[in-house]
Amino acid sequence: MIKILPRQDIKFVLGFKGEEVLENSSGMMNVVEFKNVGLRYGNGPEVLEDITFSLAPGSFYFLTGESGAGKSSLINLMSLSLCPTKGNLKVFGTDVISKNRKKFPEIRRNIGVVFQEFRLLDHLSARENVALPLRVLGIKEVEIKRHVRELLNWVGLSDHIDAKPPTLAGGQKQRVAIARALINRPKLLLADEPTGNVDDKMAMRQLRLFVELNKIGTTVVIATHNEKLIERLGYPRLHLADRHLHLLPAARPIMTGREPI
Amino acid sequence: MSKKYKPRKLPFAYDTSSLFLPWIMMLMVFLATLSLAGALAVQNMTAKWSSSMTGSLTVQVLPPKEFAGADMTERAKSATMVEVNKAADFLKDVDGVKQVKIVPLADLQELLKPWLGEAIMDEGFPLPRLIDVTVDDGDNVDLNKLKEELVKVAPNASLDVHRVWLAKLMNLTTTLNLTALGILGLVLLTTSFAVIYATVTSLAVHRPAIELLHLIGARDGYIASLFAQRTMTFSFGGAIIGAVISVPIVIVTAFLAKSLEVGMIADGWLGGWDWFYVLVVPFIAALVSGITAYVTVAFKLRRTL
Repeated sequence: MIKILPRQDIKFVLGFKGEEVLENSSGMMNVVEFKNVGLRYGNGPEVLEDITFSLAPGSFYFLTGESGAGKSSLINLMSLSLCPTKGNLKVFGTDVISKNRKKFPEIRRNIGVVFQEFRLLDHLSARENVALPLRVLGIKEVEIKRHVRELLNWVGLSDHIDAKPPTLAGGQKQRVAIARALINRPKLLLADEPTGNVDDKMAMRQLRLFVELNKIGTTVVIATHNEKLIERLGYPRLHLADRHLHLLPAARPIMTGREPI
Repeated sequence: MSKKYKPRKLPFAYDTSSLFLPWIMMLMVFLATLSLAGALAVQNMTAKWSSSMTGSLTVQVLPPKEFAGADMTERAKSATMVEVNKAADFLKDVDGVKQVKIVPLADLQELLKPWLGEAIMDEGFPLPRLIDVTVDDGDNVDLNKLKEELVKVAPNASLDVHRVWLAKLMNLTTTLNLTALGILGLVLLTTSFAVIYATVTSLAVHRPAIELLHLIGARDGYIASLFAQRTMTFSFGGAIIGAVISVPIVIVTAFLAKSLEVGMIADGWLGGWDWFYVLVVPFIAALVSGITAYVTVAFKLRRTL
């Protein structure tokens, strides 16, 4: 049974330029900081209300909640696709407000997002889709070619490098989307149902990749309904219910990701 | 075996909204090239006429009135020449006059022969005598005063100031020139509007790709430069075709103008630099369309997250 815990204690300190920043217990700047954040679309009702939490560097969370609970909205806020309509949100120490949009590209380059609907460009091959973040960074074509091939091999798509998304199955598209999110080794990885279209074996394989990334310091948030995987990996979860966020502890001791499937 | 990898740098799919751009550009470059060639030709002719005529005056000396209507006898000829010499001597002493030259009778006859026929060669044909006067700068000579004083010295002499008719001609050519440049400006403006329209439509079509590029960290400038690159490629294709059609027309017109052997037109056609300006039109058109697309995209993206 899941026990709902009180919201995480947050210590406020003054950051540079007098800005109020959230600091975690290790003294490092938090990757994401929500303070009383609310979100509504247009004049509709609030879909998220009074959300307060922070993500320390190197943390790993599952994001759970029923369909329509606001998981994708929360991920969109963290990926700077949306600005909160209320409260204060900071990502890598920068306020997510439209006034700061010039700073967003730099922040986004440190965030990898796996979208629920993949958002692959249909006229580009798997290789070209995965290469996009590196092209934006201006990396040399030789480097891009090497990295993209390695990663596509790893996600098991070495035979589909030149295939275009419309010719790929759902699970293959998902793997291309994951490869694109990971290609520039993000500091924050946000994945919206990344295992929704693959079997348990492939899901575990993909999650292992996320675990490996987490071990080298990437903060990971995975929105999922897959209770089996959550229990297996045992990381704490951020649970959305009634427009509010609740922090739930790890279900069991955390797996290294190397256990047999 | 996988096919050879060719990096595709443009993350935008082909869309029909940009399909009309090469056609518009072809038409616009065609019109722009003809307008520019016309404007340059008129400008050249005007400059040539202006430089060759503003510094010159012509004095016409008619035979004395008692010989009017009659054939030129030796007496009439010498009486006319007396006045011609008086007028020439007077003009030589006027401040600002650089050169005074009495036009020989034979030259006059040659000039008029095409219009008046062989009769002009008759010794008795009554012809006025002309004096070519070159002045340093027409503006420094008081022509009204010069006219009055000339008549006192030589009563049958009259001063023909080219500037009067030249000014009228210049007004005409300046109007033609401005009209051609106006057409060129309108062509540029229309091209820019067409590019803006195509870009805005294209932005709407490619919105998902643009959102994705933003989310993976692309700056507005990066996206705008992708659009500019794409627009320039489309535009340049059309522009080159427009130039290929219009340049031969300019060349043929230039050839026909030269073959007229009418100095005023043939002399003023296109020179070396003018051909450079005409040939550079498609490149400028593609560049302007690229810059317009860049500015449009950058302006539109300001309002997105």
